[in-house]
Amino acid sequence: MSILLKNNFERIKHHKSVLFIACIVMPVFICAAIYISNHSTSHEVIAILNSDIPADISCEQYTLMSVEQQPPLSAFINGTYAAFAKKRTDGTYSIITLKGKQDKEAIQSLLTTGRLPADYRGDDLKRKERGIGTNILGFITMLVLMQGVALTTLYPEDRSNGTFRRILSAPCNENQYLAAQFIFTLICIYAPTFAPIAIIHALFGVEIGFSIADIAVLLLLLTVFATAFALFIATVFDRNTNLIATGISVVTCIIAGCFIEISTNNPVLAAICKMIPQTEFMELVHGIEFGKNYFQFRYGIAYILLCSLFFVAMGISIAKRRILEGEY
Amino acid sequence: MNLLRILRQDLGNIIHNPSLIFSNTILPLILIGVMGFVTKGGFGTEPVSSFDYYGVNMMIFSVSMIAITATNAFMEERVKRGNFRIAYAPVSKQEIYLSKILSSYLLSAICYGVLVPVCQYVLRLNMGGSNFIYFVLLLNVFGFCGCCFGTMFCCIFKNEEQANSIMQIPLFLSIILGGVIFQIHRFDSFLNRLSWLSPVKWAADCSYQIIYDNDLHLLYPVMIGLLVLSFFFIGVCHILFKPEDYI
Repeated sequence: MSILLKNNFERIKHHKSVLFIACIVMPVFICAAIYISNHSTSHEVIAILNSDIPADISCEQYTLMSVEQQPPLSAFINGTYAAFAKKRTDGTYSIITLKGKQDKEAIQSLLTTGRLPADYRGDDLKRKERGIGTNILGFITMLVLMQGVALTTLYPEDRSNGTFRRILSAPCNENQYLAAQFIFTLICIYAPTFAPIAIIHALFGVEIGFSIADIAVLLLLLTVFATAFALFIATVFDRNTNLIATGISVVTCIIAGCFIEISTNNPVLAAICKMIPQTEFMELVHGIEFGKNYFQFRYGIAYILLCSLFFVAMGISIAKRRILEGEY
Repeated sequence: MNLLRILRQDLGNIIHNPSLIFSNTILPLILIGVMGFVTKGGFGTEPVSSFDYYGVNMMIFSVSMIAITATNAFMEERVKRGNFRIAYAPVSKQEIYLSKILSSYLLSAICYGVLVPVCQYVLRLNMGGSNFIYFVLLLNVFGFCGCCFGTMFCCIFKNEEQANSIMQIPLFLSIILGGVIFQIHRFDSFLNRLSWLSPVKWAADCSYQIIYDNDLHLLYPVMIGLLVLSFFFIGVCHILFKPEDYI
Protein backbone atom coordinates (compact mmCIF):
# COMPACT_ATOMS: atom_id res chain seq x y z
CA MET A 1 0.00 0.00 0.00
CA SER A 2 2.79 2.40 0.83
CA ILE A 3 4.33 1.61 -2.55
CA LEU A 4 1.05 2.47 -4.24
CA LEU A 5 0.89 5.68 -2.30
CA LYS A 6 4.42 6.58 -3.29
CA ASN A 7 3.68 5.79 -6.90
CA ASN A 8 0.66 8.06 -6.83
CA PHE A 9 2.76 10.95 -5.64
CA GLU A 10 5.34 10.21 -8.31
CA ARG A 11 2.71 10.09 -11.02
CA ILE A 12 0.80 13.19 -10.04
CA LYS A 13 3.95 15.17 -10.79
CA HIS A 14 3.33 14.54 -14.44
CA HIS A 15 -0.22 15.81 -14.31
CA LYS A 16 0.88 19.40 -14.48
CA SER A 17 -2.63 20.75 -14.88
CA VAL A 18 -3.97 19.01 -11.77
CA LEU A 19 -1.02 20.22 -9.78
CA PHE A 20 -1.43 23.69 -11.19
CA ILE A 21 -5.04 23.85 -10.04
CA ALA A 22 -4.32 22.36 -6.64
CA CYS A 23 -1.31 24.48 -5.81
CA ILE A 24 -2.03 27.77 -7.55
CA VAL A 25 -5.68 28.16 -8.49
CA MET A 26 -7.11 26.88 -5.19
CA PRO A 27 -5.03 29.22 -3.01
CA VAL A 28 -5.93 32.10 -5.33
CA PHE A 29 -9.63 31.34 -5.02
CA ILE A 30 -9.34 30.95 -1.26
CA CYS A 31 -7.58 34.29 -0.99
CA ALA A 32 -10.30 35.83 -3.15
CA ALA A 33 -12.98 34.36 -0.88
CA ILE A 34 -11.27 35.74 2.21
CA TYR A 35 -10.78 39.11 0.54
CA ILE A 36 -14.41 39.38 -0.50
CA SER A 37 -15.72 38.22 2.87
CA ASN A 38 -13.58 40.73 4.71
CA HIS A 39 -14.29 43.56 2.34
CA SER A 40 -17.21 45.71 3.23
CA THR A 41 -19.37 46.89 0.39
CA SER A 42 -20.79 50.36 0.08
CA HIS A 43 -24.32 50.72 1.40
CA GLU A 44 -27.32 49.95 -0.71
CA VAL A 45 -28.79 53.04 -2.29
CA ILE A 46 -32.36 54.23 -2.12
CA ALA A 47 -33.18 56.73 -4.85
CA ILE A 48 -35.78 59.37 -4.05
CA LEU A 49 -37.44 61.35 -6.79
CA ASN A 50 -36.75 65.08 -6.88
CA SER A 51 -37.04 65.70 -3.22
CA ASP A 52 -34.68 66.92 -0.63
CA ILE A 53 -33.73 64.10 1.61
CA PRO A 54 -35.28 64.53 5.03
CA ALA A 55 -32.44 65.65 7.25
CA ASP A 56 -33.47 63.73 10.32
CA ILE A 57 -33.17 60.32 8.73
CA SER A 58 -30.46 58.28 10.38
CA CYS A 59 -29.75 54.93 8.88
CA GLU A 60 -26.79 52.61 9.03
CA GLN A 61 -27.93 50.23 6.35
CA TYR A 62 -28.96 52.41 3.42
CA THR A 63 -27.71 55.53 1.68
CA LEU A 64 -30.28 57.95 0.38
CA MET A 65 -29.83 59.78 -2.87
CA SER A 66 -31.97 62.20 -4.82
CA VAL A 67 -32.58 61.50 -8.52
CA GLU A 68 -34.13 63.46 -11.36
CA GLN A 69 -36.19 60.71 -12.86
CA GLN A 70 -37.14 57.12 -12.22
CA PRO A 71 -34.12 54.88 -12.91
CA PRO A 72 -34.61 52.08 -15.46
CA LEU A 73 -35.42 48.63 -14.13
CA SER A 74 -32.00 47.34 -15.17
CA ALA A 75 -30.39 49.69 -12.64
CA PHE A 76 -32.11 47.69 -9.90
CA ILE A 77 -31.03 44.42 -11.43
CA ASN A 78 -27.34 45.27 -11.56
CA GLY A 79 -27.43 46.65 -8.03
CA THR A 80 -27.02 50.38 -8.65
CA TYR A 81 -30.16 51.12 -6.66
CA ALA A 82 -31.87 48.99 -4.06
CA ALA A 83 -35.12 50.91 -4.21
CA PHE A 84 -36.82 53.90 -5.76
CA ALA A 85 -39.25 56.04 -3.77
CA LYS A 86 -41.66 58.71 -4.91
CA LYS A 87 -43.52 60.92 -2.49
CA ARG A 88 -47.27 60.77 -2.74
CA THR A 89 -49.44 63.77 -1.93
CA ASP A 90 -50.48 62.31 1.39
CA GLY A 91 -46.88 62.15 2.61
CA THR A 92 -46.35 58.40 2.20
CA TYR A 93 -44.08 56.99 -0.45
CA SER A 94 -44.68 54.67 -3.35
CA ILE A 95 -41.74 52.32 -3.48
CA ILE A 96 -40.34 50.21 -6.27
CA THR A 97 -37.85 47.57 -5.23
CA LEU A 98 -36.82 44.03 -6.08
CA LYS A 99 -36.71 43.22 -2.41
CA GLY A 100 -39.37 41.39 -0.45
CA LYS A 101 -42.36 42.75 1.40
CA GLN A 102 -40.59 43.08 4.72
CA ASP A 103 -37.80 45.21 3.26
CA LYS A 104 -40.34 47.34 1.44
CA GLU A 105 -42.20 48.09 4.65
CA ALA A 106 -38.94 48.86 6.42
CA ILE A 107 -37.96 51.36 3.73
CA GLN A 108 -41.39 52.93 3.91
CA SER A 109 -41.04 53.44 7.64
CA LEU A 110 -37.49 54.72 7.22
CA LEU A 111 -38.71 57.44 4.89
CA THR A 112 -41.80 58.41 6.84
CA THR A 113 -40.64 58.05 10.44
CA GLY A 114 -36.93 58.57 9.94
CA ARG A 115 -35.72 55.24 11.21
CA LEU A 116 -35.84 51.58 10.35
CA PRO A 117 -37.89 49.19 12.48
CA ALA A 118 -35.82 48.08 15.45
CA ASP A 119 -35.69 44.40 14.53
CA TYR A 120 -35.08 44.95 10.82
CA ARG A 121 -32.00 43.38 9.29
CA GLY A 122 -31.14 44.10 5.66
CA ASP A 123 -29.31 41.64 3.40
CA ASP A 124 -25.89 43.09 4.15
CA LEU A 125 -26.40 42.97 7.88
CA LYS A 126 -27.69 39.41 7.71
CA ARG A 127 -24.59 38.40 5.82
CA LYS A 128 -22.37 40.12 8.35
CA GLU A 129 -24.15 38.50 11.27
CA ARG A 130 -23.63 35.12 9.72
CA GLY A 131 -19.94 35.47 10.45
CA ILE A 132 -16.89 35.95 8.28
CA GLY A 133 -15.60 32.47 8.98
CA THR A 134 -18.88 30.83 8.01
CA ASN A 135 -18.96 32.75 4.73
CA ILE A 136 -15.38 31.78 3.92
CA LEU A 137 -15.77 28.12 4.82
CA GLY A 138 -19.04 27.91 2.90
CA PHE A 139 -17.25 28.87 -0.27
CA ILE A 140 -14.31 26.60 0.51
CA THR A 141 -16.69 23.67 1.01
CA MET A 142 -17.73 23.89 -2.61
CA LEU A 143 -14.17 24.29 -3.85
CA VAL A 144 -12.98 21.29 -1.84
CA LEU A 145 -15.77 19.05 -3.09
CA MET A 146 -14.93 19.94 -6.69
CA GLN A 147 -11.23 19.63 -6.09
CA GLY A 148 -11.54 16.16 -4.56
CA VAL A 149 -12.80 14.63 -7.77
CA ALA A 150 -10.18 16.43 -9.83
CA LEU A 151 -7.46 14.96 -7.64
CA THR A 152 -8.78 11.42 -7.87
CA THR A 153 -7.92 11.53 -11.57
CA LEU A 154 -5.39 8.69 -11.27
CA TYR A 155 -8.06 6.14 -10.44
CA PRO A 156 -10.20 6.55 -13.60
CA GLU A 157 -6.97 6.77 -15.56
CA ASP A 158 -5.76 3.46 -14.14
CA ARG A 159 -8.99 1.81 -15.19
CA SER A 160 -9.05 3.18 -18.70
CA ASN A 161 -5.46 2.25 -19.56
CA GLY A 162 -5.48 -1.15 -17.88
CA THR A 163 -3.09 -0.36 -15.03
CA PHE A 164 -5.84 -1.20 -12.57
CA ARG A 165 -6.04 -4.79 -13.77
CA ARG A 166 -2.31 -5.17 -13.64
CA ILE A 167 -2.16 -3.76 -10.11
CA LEU A 168 -4.83 -6.19 -8.98
CA SER A 169 -2.97 -9.16 -10.41
CA ALA A 170 -0.03 -8.18 -8.22
CA PRO A 171 -0.24 -9.17 -4.54
CA CYS A 172 -2.56 -6.29 -3.74
CA ASN A 173 -6.31 -6.21 -3.43
CA GLU A 174 -8.82 -3.54 -4.28
CA ASN A 175 -9.19 -2.49 -0.63
CA GLN A 176 -5.55 -1.63 -0.43
CA TYR A 177 -5.64 0.14 -3.77
CA LEU A 178 -8.63 2.27 -2.80
CA ALA A 179 -7.17 2.98 0.63
CA ALA A 180 -4.04 4.29 -1.06
CA GLN A 181 -6.17 6.48 -3.31
CA PHE A 182 -8.10 7.71 -0.29
CA ILE A 183 -5.02 8.76 1.65
CA PHE A 184 -3.48 10.30 -1.43
CA THR A 185 -6.53 12.46 -2.22
CA LEU A 186 -6.93 13.40 1.43
CA ILE A 187 -3.41 14.75 1.65
CA CYS A 188 -3.61 16.49 -1.70
CA ILE A 189 -6.77 18.36 -0.78
CA TYR A 190 -5.85 19.15 2.78
CA ALA A 191 -2.39 20.60 2.32
CA PRO A 192 -3.12 23.22 -0.37
CA THR A 193 -6.36 24.28 1.34
CA PHE A 194 -5.02 24.59 4.84
CA ALA A 195 -1.70 26.19 3.91
CA PRO A 196 -3.00 29.43 2.34
CA ILE A 197 -5.51 30.00 5.14
CA ALA A 198 -2.89 29.44 7.79
CA ILE A 199 -0.39 31.69 6.01
CA ILE A 200 -2.86 34.51 5.50
CA HIS A 201 -4.00 34.28 9.09
CA ALA A 202 -0.62 33.86 10.72
CA LEU A 203 1.55 36.12 8.58
CA PHE A 204 -0.80 38.88 7.56
CA GLY A 205 -3.11 38.72 10.53
CA VAL A 206 -6.24 38.69 8.38
CA GLU A 207 -9.41 37.93 10.30
CA ILE A 208 -10.85 34.52 9.40
CA GLY A 209 -13.23 34.05 12.28
CA PHE A 210 -11.59 30.95 13.75
CA SER A 211 -8.46 29.97 15.55
CA ILE A 212 -5.96 27.96 13.53
CA ALA A 213 -6.71 24.82 15.52
CA ASP A 214 -10.43 25.08 14.78
CA ILE A 215 -9.75 25.59 11.09
CA ALA A 216 -7.48 22.53 11.09
CA VAL A 217 -10.16 20.32 12.67
CA LEU A 218 -13.03 21.62 10.54
CA LEU A 219 -11.06 21.29 7.33
CA LEU A 220 -10.06 17.75 8.23
CA LEU A 221 -13.70 16.77 8.64
CA LEU A 222 -14.54 18.45 5.36
CA THR A 223 -11.69 16.80 3.47
CA VAL A 224 -12.61 13.34 4.75
CA PHE A 225 -16.11 13.83 3.42
CA ALA A 226 -14.92 15.31 0.13
CA THR A 227 -12.50 12.43 -0.40
CA ALA A 228 -15.18 9.83 0.24
CA PHE A 229 -17.50 11.63 -2.16
CA ALA A 230 -14.77 11.81 -4.79
CA LEU A 231 -13.99 8.08 -4.54
CA PHE A 232 -17.66 7.27 -4.91
CA ILE A 233 -18.12 9.51 -7.97
CA ALA A 234 -14.92 8.27 -9.58
CA THR A 235 -16.08 4.66 -9.14
CA VAL A 236 -19.61 5.10 -10.39
CA PHE A 237 -18.98 7.27 -13.44
CA ASP A 238 -16.56 6.45 -16.18
CA ARG A 239 -16.09 9.67 -18.06
CA ASN A 240 -16.52 13.39 -17.48
CA THR A 241 -16.31 12.82 -13.74
CA ASN A 242 -15.17 16.41 -13.26
CA LEU A 243 -18.16 17.89 -14.98
CA ILE A 244 -20.62 15.69 -13.07
CA ALA A 245 -18.98 16.35 -9.71
CA THR A 246 -18.95 20.10 -10.34
CA GLY A 247 -22.66 20.05 -11.10
CA ILE A 248 -23.56 17.98 -8.04
CA SER A 249 -21.40 19.94 -5.64
CA VAL A 250 -22.55 23.35 -6.83
CA VAL A 251 -26.22 22.44 -6.55
CA THR A 252 -25.98 20.65 -3.19
CA CYS A 253 -23.82 23.40 -1.72
CA ILE A 254 -26.32 26.05 -2.70
CA ILE A 255 -29.25 24.25 -1.11
CA ALA A 256 -27.17 23.33 1.91
CA GLY A 257 -26.80 27.04 2.59
CA CYS A 258 -23.09 27.35 2.01
CA PHE A 259 -23.53 30.82 0.52
CA ILE A 260 -26.75 32.23 1.87
CA GLU A 261 -28.77 31.07 4.80
CA ILE A 262 -31.79 29.13 3.72
CA SER A 263 -35.06 29.24 5.54
CA THR A 264 -38.05 27.47 4.14
CA ASN A 265 -41.49 26.69 5.43
CA ASN A 266 -42.00 23.77 3.13
CA PRO A 267 -41.41 20.61 5.22
CA VAL A 268 -40.42 18.44 2.25
CA LEU A 269 -37.81 20.88 1.05
CA ALA A 270 -36.57 21.40 4.59
CA ALA A 271 -36.14 17.64 4.96
CA ILE A 272 -34.20 17.47 1.70
CA CYS A 273 -31.92 20.30 2.80
CA LYS A 274 -31.41 18.59 6.13
CA MET A 275 -30.35 15.36 4.43
CA ILE A 276 -27.39 16.96 2.67
CA PRO A 277 -24.29 16.54 4.85
CA GLN A 278 -23.04 20.03 3.99
CA THR A 279 -25.99 21.47 5.93
CA GLU A 280 -24.75 19.81 9.10
CA PHE A 281 -21.28 21.01 8.33
CA MET A 282 -22.40 24.62 7.93
CA GLU A 283 -24.30 24.45 11.21
CA LEU A 284 -21.21 23.11 12.90
CA VAL A 285 -19.04 25.84 11.39
CA HIS A 286 -21.47 28.57 12.39
CA GLY A 287 -21.71 27.19 15.92
CA ILE A 288 -17.96 26.94 16.37
CA GLU A 289 -17.44 30.45 15.08
CA PHE A 290 -19.80 31.75 17.74
CA GLY A 291 -18.14 29.94 20.57
CA LYS A 292 -20.02 26.69 20.97
CA ASN A 293 -18.04 23.51 21.47
CA TYR A 294 -17.77 20.42 19.31
CA PHE A 295 -19.65 18.24 21.75
CA GLN A 296 -22.89 20.12 21.10
CA PHE A 297 -22.65 19.09 17.47
CA ARG A 298 -21.80 15.42 18.05
CA TYR A 299 -24.77 14.17 16.02
CA GLY A 300 -23.93 16.44 13.11
CA ILE A 301 -20.33 15.31 13.10
CA ALA A 302 -21.40 11.68 13.39
CA TYR A 303 -23.77 12.14 10.46
CA ILE A 304 -21.05 13.61 8.24
CA LEU A 305 -18.68 10.76 9.13
CA LEU A 306 -21.41 8.21 8.57
CA CYS A 307 -22.11 9.65 5.11
CA SER A 308 -18.41 9.49 4.30
CA LEU A 309 -18.31 5.88 5.43
CA PHE A 310 -21.34 5.14 3.29
CA PHE A 311 -19.73 6.66 0.19
CA VAL A 312 -16.52 4.72 0.73
CA ALA A 313 -18.39 1.46 1.34
CA MET A 314 -20.50 1.99 -1.77
CA GLY A 315 -17.40 2.81 -3.79
CA ILE A 316 -15.61 -0.34 -2.65
CA SER A 317 -18.59 -2.63 -3.19
CA ILE A 318 -19.28 -1.27 -6.66
CA ALA A 319 -15.62 -1.61 -7.60
CA LYS A 320 -15.62 -5.19 -6.26
CA ARG A 321 -18.73 -6.14 -8.18
CA ARG A 322 -17.33 -4.75 -11.40
CA ILE A 323 -14.06 -6.58 -10.88
CA LEU A 324 -15.96 -9.84 -10.39
CA GLU A 325 -17.93 -9.17 -13.53
CA GLY A 326 -14.62 -8.69 -15.28
CA GLU A 327 -15.31 -5.19 -16.47
CA TYR A 328 -11.75 -4.01 -16.07
CA MET B 1 -18.06 20.21 -48.46
CA ASN B 2 -15.43 18.57 -46.29
CA LEU B 3 -16.29 21.02 -43.55
CA LEU B 4 -19.90 19.82 -43.52
CA ARG B 5 -18.82 16.21 -43.30
CA ILE B 6 -16.45 16.85 -40.38
CA LEU B 7 -19.08 19.00 -38.76
CA ARG B 8 -21.58 16.15 -38.86
CA GLN B 9 -19.04 13.83 -37.30
CA ASP B 10 -18.26 16.32 -34.52
CA LEU B 11 -21.90 16.94 -33.77
CA GLY B 12 -22.37 13.19 -33.49
CA ASN B 13 -19.50 13.02 -31.01
CA ILE B 14 -21.04 15.73 -28.86
CA ILE B 15 -24.48 14.17 -28.92
CA HIS B 16 -23.04 10.86 -27.79
CA ASN B 17 -21.59 12.50 -24.70
CA PRO B 18 -24.47 12.59 -22.20
CA SER B 19 -22.85 14.91 -19.70
CA LEU B 20 -22.30 17.62 -22.31
CA ILE B 21 -25.91 17.43 -23.38
CA PHE B 22 -27.05 17.38 -19.77
CA SER B 23 -25.03 20.43 -18.82
CA ASN B 24 -26.51 22.42 -21.68
CA THR B 25 -30.15 21.45 -21.24
CA ILE B 26 -31.25 20.33 -17.80
CA LEU B 27 -28.51 21.91 -15.70
CA PRO B 28 -29.47 25.54 -16.48
CA LEU B 29 -33.05 24.75 -15.45
CA ILE B 30 -31.91 23.11 -12.22
CA LEU B 31 -29.68 26.09 -11.46
CA ILE B 32 -32.50 28.55 -12.08
CA GLY B 33 -34.80 26.53 -9.83
CA VAL B 34 -32.28 26.14 -7.05
CA MET B 35 -31.00 29.72 -7.04
CA GLY B 36 -34.50 31.10 -7.40
CA PHE B 37 -35.74 28.98 -4.52
CA VAL B 38 -32.84 29.81 -2.26
CA THR B 39 -33.05 33.57 -2.72
CA LYS B 40 -36.83 33.73 -2.77
CA GLY B 41 -36.94 35.55 0.59
CA GLY B 42 -34.76 38.38 -0.64
CA PHE B 43 -37.03 39.24 -3.53
CA GLY B 44 -40.59 40.44 -3.88
CA THR B 45 -42.90 39.09 -6.54
CA GLU B 46 -43.17 42.40 -8.39
CA PRO B 47 -41.61 43.67 -10.62
CA VAL B 48 -38.94 40.96 -10.72
CA SER B 49 -39.10 37.69 -8.78
CA SER B 50 -36.06 35.70 -7.76
CA PHE B 51 -36.79 33.18 -10.52
CA ASP B 52 -36.89 35.94 -13.16
CA TYR B 53 -33.65 37.35 -11.86
CA TYR B 54 -31.77 34.08 -11.78
CA GLY B 55 -33.43 32.92 -14.99
CA VAL B 56 -31.55 35.55 -16.94
CA ASN B 57 -28.35 35.32 -14.91
CA MET B 58 -28.05 31.54 -14.94
CA MET B 59 -28.76 31.53 -18.68
CA ILE B 60 -25.80 33.83 -19.24
CA PHE B 61 -23.75 31.77 -16.79
CA SER B 62 -24.43 28.49 -18.60
CA VAL B 63 -23.74 30.01 -21.99
CA SER B 64 -20.35 31.19 -20.76
CA MET B 65 -19.62 27.62 -19.69
CA ILE B 66 -20.02 26.49 -23.33
CA ALA B 67 -16.25 27.00 -23.62
CA ILE B 68 -15.87 23.78 -21.62
CA THR B 69 -18.07 21.95 -24.11
CA ALA B 70 -15.84 23.23 -26.89
CA THR B 71 -12.66 21.92 -25.29
CA ASN B 72 -14.35 18.59 -24.66
CA ALA B 73 -15.57 18.33 -28.24
CA PHE B 74 -12.10 19.03 -29.53
CA MET B 75 -9.74 17.07 -27.37
CA GLU B 76 -11.43 14.79 -24.89
CA GLU B 77 -9.34 11.62 -24.59
CA ARG B 78 -11.89 9.44 -26.31
CA VAL B 79 -12.50 11.62 -29.33
CA LYS B 80 -9.05 13.08 -29.72
CA ARG B 81 -7.46 10.24 -31.69
CA GLY B 82 -10.37 10.06 -34.06
CA ASN B 83 -10.40 13.80 -34.48
CA PHE B 84 -6.78 13.87 -35.50
CA ARG B 85 -6.91 11.04 -37.97
CA ILE B 86 -8.55 13.62 -40.17
CA ALA B 87 -5.20 15.35 -40.29
CA TYR B 88 -4.01 12.65 -42.70
CA ALA B 89 -6.86 13.35 -45.08
CA PRO B 90 -6.60 16.12 -47.65
CA VAL B 91 -8.40 18.75 -45.61
CA SER B 92 -7.06 22.13 -44.69
CA LYS B 93 -6.35 22.90 -41.07
CA GLN B 94 -9.00 25.63 -40.95
CA GLU B 95 -11.62 23.00 -41.62
CA ILE B 96 -10.51 20.99 -38.61
CA TYR B 97 -10.69 23.71 -35.99
CA LEU B 98 -13.61 25.58 -37.56
CA SER B 99 -15.72 22.45 -37.47
CA LYS B 100 -15.06 22.09 -33.73
CA ILE B 101 -16.05 25.70 -33.12
CA LEU B 102 -19.12 25.39 -35.29
CA SER B 103 -20.28 22.08 -33.82
CA SER B 104 -20.21 23.36 -30.23
CA TYR B 105 -21.72 26.64 -31.38
CA LEU B 106 -24.56 24.76 -33.08
CA LEU B 107 -25.18 22.81 -29.89
CA SER B 108 -25.45 26.03 -27.88
CA ALA B 109 -27.61 27.68 -30.54
CA ILE B 110 -30.06 24.79 -30.53
CA CYS B 111 -30.13 24.24 -26.76
CA TYR B 112 -30.54 27.87 -25.77
CA GLY B 113 -32.74 28.62 -28.76
CA VAL B 114 -35.15 26.12 -27.22
CA LEU B 115 -34.52 26.86 -23.54
CA VAL B 116 -35.23 30.61 -23.66
CA PRO B 117 -38.69 30.31 -25.24
CA VAL B 118 -39.45 27.41 -22.89
CA CYS B 119 -38.58 29.61 -19.90
CA GLN B 120 -40.56 32.49 -21.32
CA TYR B 121 -43.73 30.70 -22.34
CA VAL B 122 -43.87 27.43 -20.42
CA LEU B 123 -42.24 28.41 -17.12
CA ARG B 124 -43.51 32.00 -17.37
CA LEU B 125 -40.19 33.61 -16.52
CA ASN B 126 -39.48 37.07 -17.81
CA MET B 127 -37.07 36.60 -20.70
CA GLY B 128 -38.06 39.81 -22.41
CA GLY B 129 -41.55 38.89 -23.59
CA SER B 130 -41.71 39.44 -27.33
CA ASN B 131 -38.14 40.75 -27.16
CA PHE B 132 -36.83 37.32 -26.24
CA ILE B 133 -35.66 36.84 -29.80
CA TYR B 134 -33.02 39.56 -29.27
CA PHE B 135 -31.93 37.87 -26.08
CA VAL B 136 -31.53 34.60 -28.00
CA LEU B 137 -29.56 36.45 -30.67
CA LEU B 138 -27.25 37.91 -28.06
CA LEU B 139 -26.76 34.50 -26.42
CA ASN B 140 -25.92 33.04 -29.82
CA VAL B 141 -23.15 35.53 -30.46
CA PHE B 142 -21.95 35.17 -26.88
CA GLY B 143 -21.92 31.38 -27.18
CA PHE B 144 -19.96 31.61 -30.43
CA CYS B 145 -17.39 33.77 -28.70
CA GLY B 146 -17.19 31.19 -25.87
CA CYS B 147 -16.61 28.34 -28.34
CA CYS B 148 -13.79 30.26 -30.04
CA PHE B 149 -12.31 30.91 -26.60
CA GLY B 150 -12.39 27.23 -25.64
CA THR B 151 -10.95 26.11 -28.96
CA MET B 152 -8.18 28.67 -28.68
CA PHE B 153 -7.14 27.18 -25.34
CA CYS B 154 -7.09 23.73 -26.92
CA CYS B 155 -4.80 25.02 -29.65
CA ILE B 156 -2.50 26.60 -27.09
CA PHE B 157 -2.20 23.64 -24.70
CA LYS B 158 -2.81 20.73 -27.10
CA ASN B 159 -4.52 18.73 -24.36
CA GLU B 160 -8.04 18.84 -22.99
CA GLU B 161 -7.16 18.44 -19.34
CA GLN B 162 -4.60 21.20 -19.35
CA ALA B 163 -6.65 23.50 -21.52
CA ASN B 164 -9.67 23.12 -19.26
CA SER B 165 -7.82 23.63 -16.04
CA ILE B 166 -6.03 26.75 -17.18
CA MET B 167 -9.08 28.11 -18.95
CA GLN B 168 -11.01 27.96 -15.68
CA ILE B 169 -9.17 30.97 -14.29
CA PRO B 170 -10.05 33.57 -16.95
CA LEU B 171 -13.46 31.96 -17.32
CA PHE B 172 -14.41 32.16 -13.64
CA LEU B 173 -12.84 35.57 -13.24
CA SER B 174 -14.91 37.00 -16.05
CA ILE B 175 -18.04 35.26 -14.75
CA ILE B 176 -17.54 36.70 -11.28
CA LEU B 177 -16.68 40.13 -12.67
CA GLY B 178 -19.73 39.86 -14.89
CA GLY B 179 -21.82 39.90 -11.73
CA VAL B 180 -24.10 37.04 -12.75
CA ILE B 181 -23.52 35.03 -9.57
CA PHE B 182 -23.62 37.89 -7.10
CA GLN B 183 -23.80 41.61 -7.69
CA ILE B 184 -20.40 43.20 -7.59
CA HIS B 185 -21.59 46.73 -8.20
CA ARG B 186 -21.16 47.77 -4.59
CA PHE B 187 -17.58 46.60 -4.19
CA ASP B 188 -14.92 49.23 -4.56
CA SER B 189 -14.58 51.22 -7.74
CA PHE B 190 -11.42 49.42 -8.84
CA LEU B 191 -13.25 46.11 -9.10
CA ASN B 192 -16.00 47.95 -10.89
CA ARG B 193 -13.74 49.38 -13.55
CA LEU B 194 -12.03 46.02 -13.92
CA SER B 195 -15.39 44.41 -14.59
CA TRP B 196 -15.72 46.28 -17.88
CA LEU B 197 -12.99 44.03 -19.26
CA SER B 198 -15.21 41.01 -18.85
CA PRO B 199 -17.29 39.97 -21.88
CA VAL B 200 -19.73 38.33 -19.47
CA LYS B 201 -20.39 41.80 -18.06
CA TRP B 202 -21.12 43.15 -21.56
CA ALA B 203 -23.55 40.36 -22.26
CA ALA B 204 -25.21 40.70 -18.86
CA ASP B 205 -25.69 44.46 -19.06
CA CYS B 206 -26.97 44.22 -22.59
CA SER B 207 -29.49 41.52 -21.70
CA TYR B 208 -30.74 43.46 -18.66
CA GLN B 209 -31.42 46.38 -20.99
CA ILE B 210 -33.19 44.24 -23.55
CA ILE B 211 -35.30 42.38 -21.04
CA TYR B 212 -36.10 44.98 -18.42
CA ASP B 213 -35.88 48.32 -20.22
CA ASN B 214 -37.06 47.27 -23.65
CA ASP B 215 -34.01 49.05 -24.93
CA LEU B 216 -31.89 47.70 -27.79
CA HIS B 217 -29.20 50.37 -27.70
CA LEU B 218 -26.43 48.16 -26.41
CA LEU B 219 -27.27 45.16 -28.59
CA TYR B 220 -25.27 46.03 -31.71
CA PRO B 221 -22.17 47.42 -30.00
CA VAL B 222 -22.00 44.38 -27.73
CA MET B 223 -22.55 41.95 -30.59
CA ILE B 224 -19.85 43.64 -32.64
CA GLY B 225 -17.51 43.61 -29.66
CA LEU B 226 -18.08 39.90 -29.10
CA LEU B 227 -17.59 39.12 -32.79
CA VAL B 228 -14.32 41.07 -32.91
CA LEU B 229 -13.16 39.11 -29.89
CA SER B 230 -14.19 35.84 -31.57
CA PHE B 231 -12.22 36.68 -34.69
CA PHE B 232 -9.24 37.45 -32.54
CA PHE B 233 -9.55 34.00 -30.90
CA ILE B 234 -9.93 32.34 -34.29
CA GLY B 235 -6.85 34.21 -35.47
CA VAL B 236 -4.86 32.79 -32.55
CA CYS B 237 -6.19 29.30 -33.38
CA HIS B 238 -5.07 29.72 -36.96
CA ILE B 239 -1.56 30.72 -35.98
CA LEU B 240 -1.06 28.12 -33.26
CA PHE B 241 -2.93 25.12 -34.59
CA LYS B 242 -0.61 22.66 -36.34
CA PRO B 243 -2.21 19.30 -37.10
CA GLU B 244 1.22 17.68 -37.39
CA ASP B 245 1.76 18.24 -33.65
CA TYR B 246 -0.91 15.68 -32.84
CA ILE B 247 0.10 12.82 -35.05
